[in-house]
Amino acid sequence: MSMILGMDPWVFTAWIGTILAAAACVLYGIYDQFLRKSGNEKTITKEKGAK
Amino acid sequence: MKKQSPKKKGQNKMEDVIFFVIFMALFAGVFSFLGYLGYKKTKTAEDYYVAGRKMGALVIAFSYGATFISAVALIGFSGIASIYGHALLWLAFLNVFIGILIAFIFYGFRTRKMGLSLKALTLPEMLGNRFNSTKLQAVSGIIIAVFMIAYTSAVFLAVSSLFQVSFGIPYEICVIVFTIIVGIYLVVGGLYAVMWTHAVQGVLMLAGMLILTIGIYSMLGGVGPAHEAAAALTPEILEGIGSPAATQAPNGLTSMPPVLSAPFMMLLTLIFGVGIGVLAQPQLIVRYLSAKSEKALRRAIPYGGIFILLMTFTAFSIGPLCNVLMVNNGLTYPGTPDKVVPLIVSELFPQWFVFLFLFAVLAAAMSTASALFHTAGASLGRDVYEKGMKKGGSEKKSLQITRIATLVIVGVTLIISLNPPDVVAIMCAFFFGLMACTFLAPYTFMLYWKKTSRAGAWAGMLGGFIFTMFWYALIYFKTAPQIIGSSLTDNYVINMLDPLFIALPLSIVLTIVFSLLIKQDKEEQKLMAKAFENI
Repeated sequence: MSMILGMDPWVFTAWIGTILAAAACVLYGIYDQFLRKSGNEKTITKEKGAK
Repeated sequence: MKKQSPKKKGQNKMEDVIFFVIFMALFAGVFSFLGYLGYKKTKTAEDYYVAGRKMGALVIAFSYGATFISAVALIGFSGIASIYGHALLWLAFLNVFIGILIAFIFYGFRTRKMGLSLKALTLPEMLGNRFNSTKLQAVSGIIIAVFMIAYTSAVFLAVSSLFQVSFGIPYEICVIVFTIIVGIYLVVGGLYAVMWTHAVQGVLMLAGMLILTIGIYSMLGGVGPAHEAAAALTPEILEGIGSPAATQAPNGLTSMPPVLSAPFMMLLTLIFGVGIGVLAQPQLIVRYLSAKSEKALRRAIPYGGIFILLMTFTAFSIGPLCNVLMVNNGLTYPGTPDKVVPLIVSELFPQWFVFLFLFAVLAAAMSTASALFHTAGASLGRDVYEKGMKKGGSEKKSLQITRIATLVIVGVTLIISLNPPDVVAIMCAFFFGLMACTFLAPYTFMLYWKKTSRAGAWAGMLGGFIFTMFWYALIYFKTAPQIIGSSLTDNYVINMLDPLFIALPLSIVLTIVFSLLIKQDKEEQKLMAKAFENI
C-alpha cells in the first residue's frame, strides 16, 4: 500500500482531516467576524430570560 | 534538543522538592488571587453557577478546552497511541470536528438560548425545567455527582502518582495539596475563578505540548522522516523494546489495523466512546450557559479548534513516535502506556522542560478537576438538595447551599483519593461513555424536538443509564472481569464494543417511543413553548 508522509491512506485521512477540521473552525471564525451579516439574530436579553 | 544522560535517581531530589514547593506556592498564589477576584464578582447563584452569563470568547474556548482535555488525555492517550499507532488520530479528528464544530454549532447556541428561557443554570435543571419535573432534575444530579466524584478522584490519583515518582514527594501530600488548592479557589470564586484559572492553565498546557511535539519531531528529522521511521519499526524491533505495539499494531504504527481485529475494536471503542461522548458532558455544557452572547460562543469556535488541535493532535501524533525514540536511545518500554511520555521527557529533554511538562500535566489535571468539582457541587447543591429535596429558597441561601455542597464533594473526593478503591479506576474508564449514553438522547431531543415529553426524557435517560451499567458490569472486557470475574461472552467483537453503540440508539428509540405514547400535559406544553421562544 502506498504511503503518504509515512502513513497509510486511512491514517493520512485522519491526519489531514484533523488539520482541515481545525482550519474549518478558523474559517468559521473569519466568516463570523468579517462576512456574517449582523442584526439577523434574535435578541435575547438577560432580563427577558434569566432571573 | 539536547540529549540528557540518564539521571541518577535521588541525585537532585532536594532541588526537585524545593522547585516543587516554589512552583506550588506560585500556583496557589495566582489561583487564590483569581479565586478572590471571582469571590468579589460572585453575588448571585447565577454568578456562581454560570459566571453571571458574562464570559467572552477566549475564556470560553480555553475553559472548554482545558475542561475537555485532562491529564488522562495528555499522558494516558498519548501512551495508548504508542500501542495502537497513528490510527488513534481519528479520535483527534472527532475531538475537533465533533467536540468543537458540531458541539458549538448544533448544541452550544441552542443550549444557551434554551437555558436562558428556562432560567436553567445546570444540565439537570434544564431537563427539570423543560419537562416540569424536579425528580428528573434530582435523579440526573445524583448520577452526575456520584460519577464525577469517582472521575475526579481518578484524575488526582493519576497526577499525584506522577508527582510522587518525579519528585519523591509522598502521594498523600500531593493529593492533599492539589485538592486544597483547587477546592479553595473553586468554593470561594465559583465559575468565574474556575474559568479564569482555566485560561492560565490552558496557556501552560499549550506551551508544554507545543515544545514537546516540536522537540520530538525535530529529534526525528521532521514530519515525513519521523512517520517513516515509525512505519519502519517491525514487530520484532518493537518486541525487542518490550512495546505492546508489536502485537497491537499488526500493520505497523502508521497504518490502520485489520478490520474487526482486536486492536481495531479497541480503537473503535476509544474513538467513538470519547469522540461522540463529548457532546453530553455536563461540565462542558455549563460553558455554553456561561457565554455572554451567541456571538461570544461563535467566536470561541476558532480558538477552541486550535486549542484542541494543539492538545490532542499533538498528543496522538507523538505517542507512536516514542517507540522510535526508545529504539534509537536504547530505552525499554516502561510497562504501562501512561509512563511512556514521562519516560521520553525525563530521558531526552532538558531538566527545565521536565518541570514545565509536569506542571503542564498538573494544570490539565487541575483544570478538569475544578470543572468536575464545580459541576458535581452544583448537581448536589442545586439539583439534588435545593430543587429535589428543599424545593427552592432565597438567592443567598442557594449560594450558601452550593458552596457547602461543593465543599462536601471536595472532601469526599479527598477521602476517596487518599484510599482509592479499585472501583474508582473502573468508573473513570467509563465516565465519558456513561454520561453520553444517559444524557445525549434526552438532551438532543429536548433541544430539537418539540414533542419530547417528560416520559420520553425519563425513558431515554434511565434506559441508556441502566443498559450501560449492565454492559459494563456483565460484558465489557475491561470492566466485567473486575466486577463479576469474567465477561459473559468470549467474542471480542462483542465484549470490546463500547456500550455507546447500543445504548445510544436504544436511548434514542426509548425517548421517541415514550414521547409518542405518553404525550406532554398542558404544563409541559407551556414550558415547551417557553423553551423555544428564542430559537
